[in-house]
Parts: sequence; structure tokens; C-alpha cells
Amino acid sequence: MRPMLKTIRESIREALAEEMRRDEKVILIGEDIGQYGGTLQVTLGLFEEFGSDRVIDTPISESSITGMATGAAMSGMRSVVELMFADFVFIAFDQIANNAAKMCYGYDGQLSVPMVIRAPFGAGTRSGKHHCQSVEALLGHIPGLKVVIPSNAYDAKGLLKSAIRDNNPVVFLEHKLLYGTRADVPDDDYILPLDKAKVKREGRDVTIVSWANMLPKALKAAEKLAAEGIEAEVIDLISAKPIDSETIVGSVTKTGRLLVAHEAVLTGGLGAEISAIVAKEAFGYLDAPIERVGAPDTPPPFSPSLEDAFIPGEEAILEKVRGMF
Amino acid sequence: MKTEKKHTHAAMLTKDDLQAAYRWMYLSRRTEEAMVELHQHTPVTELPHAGIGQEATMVGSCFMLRQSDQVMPAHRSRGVFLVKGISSRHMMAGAYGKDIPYVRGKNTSHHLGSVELGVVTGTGCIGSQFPLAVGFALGLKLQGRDDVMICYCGDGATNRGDFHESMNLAAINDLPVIFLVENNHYAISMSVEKSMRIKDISIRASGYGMHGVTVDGNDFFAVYEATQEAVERARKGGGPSLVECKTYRHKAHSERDPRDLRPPEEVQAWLEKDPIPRMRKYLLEHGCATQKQLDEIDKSVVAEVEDAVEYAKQCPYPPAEILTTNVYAQ
Repeated sequence: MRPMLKTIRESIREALAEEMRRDEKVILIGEDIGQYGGTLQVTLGLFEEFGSDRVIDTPISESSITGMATGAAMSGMRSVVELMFADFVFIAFDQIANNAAKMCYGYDGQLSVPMVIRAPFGAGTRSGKHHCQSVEALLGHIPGLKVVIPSNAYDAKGLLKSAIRDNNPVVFLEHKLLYGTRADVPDDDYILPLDKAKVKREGRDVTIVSWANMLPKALKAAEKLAAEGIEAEVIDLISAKPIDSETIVGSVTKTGRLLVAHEAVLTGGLGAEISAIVAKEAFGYLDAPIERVGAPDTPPPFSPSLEDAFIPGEEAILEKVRGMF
Repeated sequence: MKTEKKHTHAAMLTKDDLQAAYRWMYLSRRTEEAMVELHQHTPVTELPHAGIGQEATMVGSCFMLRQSDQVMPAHRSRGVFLVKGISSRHMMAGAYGKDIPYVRGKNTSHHLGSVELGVVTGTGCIGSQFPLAVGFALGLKLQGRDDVMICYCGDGATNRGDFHESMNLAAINDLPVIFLVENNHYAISMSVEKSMRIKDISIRASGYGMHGVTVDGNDFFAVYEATQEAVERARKGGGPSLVECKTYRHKAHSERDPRDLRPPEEVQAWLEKDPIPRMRKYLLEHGCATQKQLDEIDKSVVAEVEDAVEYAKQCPYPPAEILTTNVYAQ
């Protein structure tokens, strides 16, 4: 079929609808996801097609709805739970970390938890400390979970369909500022691997690993750097757990330099883990110390002037890369 | 307490049923006594949290379930595991962390899950089990099964937020789940008198538009009756229930308690309400068993537990190679 320009919001909705048509075991659970269509309108129209048994509106009970989705998955369903904001992961953390993630191991593989936790994340909406955090590193620390972060509408559809078909709990993090961005998204059924990073731009001088809303900034920075004679290779991480070491290390052995740029706060961010992998696996190839870009170690602030200072931008990437040469 | 109520369900139990129920109660008792005794000499790997004294609640509540019905035992519900089909051998060896089916040492025996037997894993985070039970019940309903889920907990867990969220979710979705509260009056050292302003935990159900009942948890028949009513309601699509069984643990919280703050006279009063002699007395007085039959049951239980201990001692530990298997499903 001819590809069509669709937003991430539309491509996620399409992935949900296609998987629900394909497999009647797929159910959606979340707050205001029914006729209201979700606070960010991702599930709009699904209630009308699939009804209240499969698009289950819930009260404000993030902990228990996440646990309920886990229990339903244990009984043989495939649940997709929507947390209104990724910040609410902390409310549901016990159910995610102590129950969903540990279930397959605790049962020694007798059963699994085919479940997706969708959660909009990221700063830039002027919504402050409880609606703007980036939580991928905290989730990536938990054995038993997979963590996926799409950066465009094409990937979002294929990755979400894979996540729903996966037999493990997958946290699917959707950056709020990217919901309206468009890409060619075929109407066809296609899936993408959950554990592979993608090289978005080839280059010989420096590797920039980034994801979600930092990725477009990294790509823009790469264009400017090219004008200065620095060819950056830009990688979309996509999978925060597991980390695709092969793609990243392969790139750094070619470029000799690594910058990890993320919107999450710097301390304990995935930049640290990726840096450790590269420092070990590509030590002999490095021509400069590994650099990281991340938000300062503060909660996400509310005021525009403060939030703009909080979110790492293209300039921070340019500055770090230039300093490597 | 509604112990005076006519036992319509219990009246249908045969002599054989009642002797079997008595055997489960005594098997649970002996299994736990053996674990505690062993722990005092050669520590069992898993710290025993004995439910000794709570056997009428444990057995009465799940005695007549189908295999396809689901139970989620609490950390002290040893009898529930046994009734649902986990053998005393596997219970005992599992407590040692030996290589038993279902968990292979990756989970403690008192939280183990078995898909084939309908035992759903519990939790070491007291109170985190409720949402799982509700979700499992949601799955049963959506799959068109008329099976039910019984989720066990103590009085302490009913103070967790998840208990309240889960009762609400179960109620608004009419889910086939029974919240079975084994109210033994203490959460480690915290008494129910101190931890809540209500006399009966069952009234918490009314806040969620759910059926709730309190029964004498040391009366096998009262527990059986109340649970059967709740199970019947759930099977027919009538939604969830809360069944509170007031009982008492004879032992301290665990075999590693620094002290037991319960008044000795209170403990003594409850020891006199021991559900096992009470069940024996009932069976004898109502012609449901002879002294000889009960003695034979006791003897067979003692032999079974001795065999379980031997099995546990000889059972190998799981090989270290499986440490990293089944973290993820294929």
C-alpha cells in the first residue's frame, strides 16, 4: 500500500486498533481512555469500535490498574495499560518492578506477562515536576522489563505492534512533544525489532547516541557540524532496555568519539550505562573522552524561562562535540 | 459474627468430605509444625511464618474449589497450597530452596505459583497481591470462564491502598474475586485495635458497594458457608465479596521474632479455641467419623509429613546454571 503521512498519535492508535482486530485477547486499560479518547487523545475512537469490555476506563488508581493489567496478562490476556503521564510510573512502581517484571522468573517460565505500559513522558509542555519527567533509566534498571522509546511515527507503529505481541512486560515511552510529528506510515501490518538501535545519519568523526525528542536536535546539530567539517553519525537508541551495544560500539570503533545526549537528568541517566559499555568495548578506539548531555539535576521546573534552561538543546550538543576535537 | 446462621452449603458435605477436610487441616498443622521444629535445629532456608491456628479458615475457604478456580494464598496460608494440590513434599522441599517443580528455587514456597494447579503467586510486599488477583479475575470474566479467584490476605494488608483500589476496581467491573481476610488480629506487632477504628474489616466492603461478611474463622463450617456463598455469587456474575475470618495465629509472626507483644492470657484464650480439636469434636459428636478413623487420619498425616521431610532433605538444590534463565519469556 502507498505510504501515508501520519502523526505518532495516529500511528499508535492504528497499531492498537490493528492488534485488537488481530487478537481478541488484546485489551486496553487506563484512565479516560474510553469515549474521552485519552487525555492526549491517543485512544480516540477505539471505545466505539471495541466496546467497554476491551477498552476499560478506570478510576484514578495507577497502582492497581497496572497490577490489574498484570494479573489479566497472567490469566491469558494481552493487556495494554495507559498511564496518563510517565511520572505516574512512580505510583505504579511496586506493581511494575515487584510484580510484572518478576513474574516470569518467579514462576520459572510457567507463565509470562504479555503486557505493554504506555506512558507519555518528557519536558516542554510547561507542566512542571509531575508531568514532565524522563524515566527510562529507572525502568531500564529492572530485570524482566523491556523499555522502548520511538522517535517517529513509522517506528512507533511497528514497535508498538511488536511490544503487544511480545510475551514480556514492555514499557513504551511516548514523548509528548513528538505526538504531532508526521512520517510515512504504511497502512500495512509491519513489526519492528524491540532491541535494535538505528543509524539515522552516517558519519566518520563522532557518534551521537540519542532518542525521543533529543534525536531531532542531534540531527540538526549534525547538519551544522557538517558545515564545520565534522561528520557526525547519529544513532536512535530506540531500546532503552536492552541496550543495542553492537550498533553503538560498531559505530564508535569507526568514529572514535561518543556523545550521549538525553533529556533525562544527567546523574544515573542512560548516558552513564552507554558510556560504560563503550569505555569497555571500544576503549582502544577512543580518540577523546566520552561526553554526555543531559538535563541538570533538578526536578522539571514550571516557568517557561526555567524549563527552557532545563531542557538540553542543540547548542549543548554542538558545544560538547566541538570540545572533542 | 454470623456463626448462628444455618449452614445450607455445609449440610451438603458428606462424611467423606468432612474427614477429608479434617485431614487437610491436620496436614497443614503438621507440615508447619515440622517446619518450625526443623527451623529450631537446622534452619529451614525460608523463614517459617506459621499459620498454625488458622487451619479452619485456610481449609474451609478453598476446600470445595474446582481445579480451574484460582487461589492466591497469603504468606501464612500453607493449608491453601496443600488443598489446591501442592504436595507436602514440595511444600517442605520448597521451603529449603530445593529444586522443586513450579519455581525451582527462584521463589519461596509460600509465594509459589502453579499454573496447572490454579495457584497464583503471592507477594513479599504485603498488600501488593490484590491488583493481580483482580486482574486475573478480569481475565477469567473476559474469557467467559465461570471460575473464581480467592485472594487471601491478613488484617494488616487491608490497610494498604491497593486493597481499597482493588476492591473498587473489582466492584465496578463485577469481577469474580473473593477477598478472603484471615484476620488473626496482628500485623507482626500491630494489633487491629491500634491499626483501625473499626471492629469488623468486612464493613470496608460497603464503601465499595460490595458484599462483606465476618465469620468465626476457627469454625470450619462458618468459613465454608460464607465462602461458598461468595463463590456462588461470583460464578453467577454477581461480583466480588469480602469474607473476613476472625482467627488467631498460635505462633509469633515468624520464627525470628525478637519478641511477641501479645498478652499471654489472650494467646491462651485463643489456644483453647484451636480449630482442630473443635473439628474433631464436631465430627465425633455428629457421627461423621469414629475415634478410630480420626486416629488413622492423624497417623497417616504424621507419616506423610515425615516422608516430606525426608524428601526435602534429599532433594537437590537447583543448579547454578538456571540463575539467569526465564528472566524473560520467549
